[in-house]
Amino acid sequence: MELLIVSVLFFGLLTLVSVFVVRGKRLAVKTESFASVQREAIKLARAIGEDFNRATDKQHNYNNDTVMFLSSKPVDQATEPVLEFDAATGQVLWKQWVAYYLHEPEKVVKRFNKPLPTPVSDPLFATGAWDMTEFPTLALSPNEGRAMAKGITEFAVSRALGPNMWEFRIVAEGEVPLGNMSKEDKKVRVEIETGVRLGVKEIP
Amino acid sequence: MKTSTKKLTRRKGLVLPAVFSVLIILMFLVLAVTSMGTTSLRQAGYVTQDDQAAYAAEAGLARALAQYQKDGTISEATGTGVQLMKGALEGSGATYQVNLYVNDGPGPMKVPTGAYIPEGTAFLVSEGRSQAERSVRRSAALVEKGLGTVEVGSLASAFLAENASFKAYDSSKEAPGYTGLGVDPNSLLDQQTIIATNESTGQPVKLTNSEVLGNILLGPGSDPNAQVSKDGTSTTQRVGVLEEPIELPPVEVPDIPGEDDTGAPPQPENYSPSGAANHVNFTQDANGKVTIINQCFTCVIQPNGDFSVSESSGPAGVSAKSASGNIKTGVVNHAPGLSTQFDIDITGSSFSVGGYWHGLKLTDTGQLLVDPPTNNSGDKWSDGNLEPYTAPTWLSDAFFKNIPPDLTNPSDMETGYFNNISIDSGTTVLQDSSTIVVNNLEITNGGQLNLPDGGKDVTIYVTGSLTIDGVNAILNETRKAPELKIYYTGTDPVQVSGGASTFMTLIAPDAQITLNGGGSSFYGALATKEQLTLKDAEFYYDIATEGVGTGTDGGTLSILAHQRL
Repeated sequence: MELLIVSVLFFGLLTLVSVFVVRGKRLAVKTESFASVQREAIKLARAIGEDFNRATDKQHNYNNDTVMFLSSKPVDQATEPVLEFDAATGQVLWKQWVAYYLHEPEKVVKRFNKPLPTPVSDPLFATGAWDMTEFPTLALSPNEGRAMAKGITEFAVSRALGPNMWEFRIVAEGEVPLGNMSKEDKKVRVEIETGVRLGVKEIP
Repeated sequence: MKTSTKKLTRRKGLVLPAVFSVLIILMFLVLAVTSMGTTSLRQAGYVTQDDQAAYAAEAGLARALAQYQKDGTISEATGTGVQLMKGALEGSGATYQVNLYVNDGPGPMKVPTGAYIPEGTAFLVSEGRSQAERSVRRSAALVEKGLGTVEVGSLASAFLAENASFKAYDSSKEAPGYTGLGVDPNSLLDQQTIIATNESTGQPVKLTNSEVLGNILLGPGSDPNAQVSKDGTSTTQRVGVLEEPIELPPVEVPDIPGEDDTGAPPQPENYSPSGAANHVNFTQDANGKVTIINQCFTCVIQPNGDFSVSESSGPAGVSAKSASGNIKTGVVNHAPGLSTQFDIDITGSSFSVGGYWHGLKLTDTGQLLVDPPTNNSGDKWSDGNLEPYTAPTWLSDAFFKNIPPDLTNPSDMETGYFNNISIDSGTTVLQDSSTIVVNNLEITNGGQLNLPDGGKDVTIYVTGSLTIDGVNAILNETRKAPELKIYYTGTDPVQVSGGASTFMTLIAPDAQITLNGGGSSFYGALATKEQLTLKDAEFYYDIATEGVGTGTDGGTLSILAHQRL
């Protein structure tokens, strides 16, 4: 009789705990799904922010899924100085073209880079930029570009905040990997609008 | 009792494993959930630390730049090489360390990042670390402290430029025999100080659709960010601030020794004889005009000998008098319709005028005789007492030295003093090593003042008015601005228009200068204490002229580059 009572109480408690754990787990999976989508969006925003720190406002181009600019980053970080100047004028040497492109079918934003034939100190003399229509084809090649973020459904300059500052709109989407949910409930969506400066603001 | 004990022991053995099993299952579940939570937390932590490190790096750089601007160093150490600054951000615990590499030259210097920095610059690299040192970010800036002491290509109180350009080049670097439009592209220079003004208020430099491919120096105390006005299509390089104004030395017109007909240029003079005749005053203007005033008596004599004389009326029957003429030619014209006239006598050695009230006489020996006002005794010279004085040389010269000649379209010009030179057709060739003093110089209507190829060292002083108008009005075929200098001491505005061979230095301290006309190009150096205007024109500062003055900019820190690494 005592054993029976203990067993009933025990299994009752176990059931209760199981219900809480299962619910907790569902919530955790849901939260993680949100966090994962948010991480991708933030990762992309930070990556483009860092790249833009090495960009110039005198040479760039963008449309609704692509942004292209000139960068002072070394092409080969192992052999080149992290930052180089024109030894006569002190102007930064611009070394490569960098582009971010949203490949919509795969919801992936890829980063492309292409060294300049010759580094230039005057951005207006930079040559060899991509044609903006090349990117849909380039993105299909597995050897071209590096995936920066997944699950991105929108990536575009939404407006100019100043002569050298843009507002980016980034939308990332995902799904909660759980059953017993409607398709709408499973959908996770994060929108980020962030201001990014081309180059670094002058120190006052 | 033994049986009962065995049963109890079996029951305990069943519950305990069950409880342990449940606890283990719960533990794994909790671990899984916790793990998921901490992943996001860790991610957020990394982002925060990364931001902390980046902000620390920027803060360190800003502090180091401020200190470098103020002290020229960021630590106790000074001079070429690395200097160090360390600090921390309050609250976050993030730290920074700034390395400063100063290149005092000569030549570019390699810094530890592998880059080369130009002479006269300093490279600051700030490294920020988050509190836990999990994140390290760097920010760097290349700076130049002031323009230093530089020669300037043009000096004016104000610059107005519309559709204009200011460039710098070195004529000594042009390829021999270069004949292309403009200057040899290989001789163009960057970062030269083309524009300088001593003004420190308002906006002394105004650029409209104009480019300055060089630096600008503003007057002491100026704000380099606010006092150069430029529209969206205008560009400049660096803007600095002068420590002291640039003094434009006064133009000293030389006294050219020569024959009687090339006397020294007139200078402003004033003479009042002391004694009883101190009511008489003689003055000479810079343009040579002599004015004699003796109460109601006035006589004006122009450098070319033209004179006019007048006196108020006397008692009844004595009318006011007026006459004119030329003391060089002896022509006298009395004003018609007057009842009485002056007694005027002009000879090769004396000039006398007698009125009712006054009179004067000047001889070529320097004797000056004045008829005082109390001696009114008729319209005759030498009536009454005459007060004798010795006239100053300039006054005698004004009367008895022949005036410098006028020249119209001369075929050539050599050292000498001239009154008016007008070149409105043909070419006037300048002789080597000549110094020319001229009252009025006018080059118009296609006339050309020419320094032939191989010519050298010509200086022209203009004291009255200066007009340079027309295509190639100045045709300096040497293409060397240092070989042709024009100094203008007058105050009338100077206009230089048209032409692609205007290679010269023009100094006009008291006159506005305007360069205008489609395609007008001026090569050399320019200076005035008034306004300089460029409209549809180009100014090329030739550094071979050594500029029009030297200025020092020591206070402005210019950031050539700033990047987050």
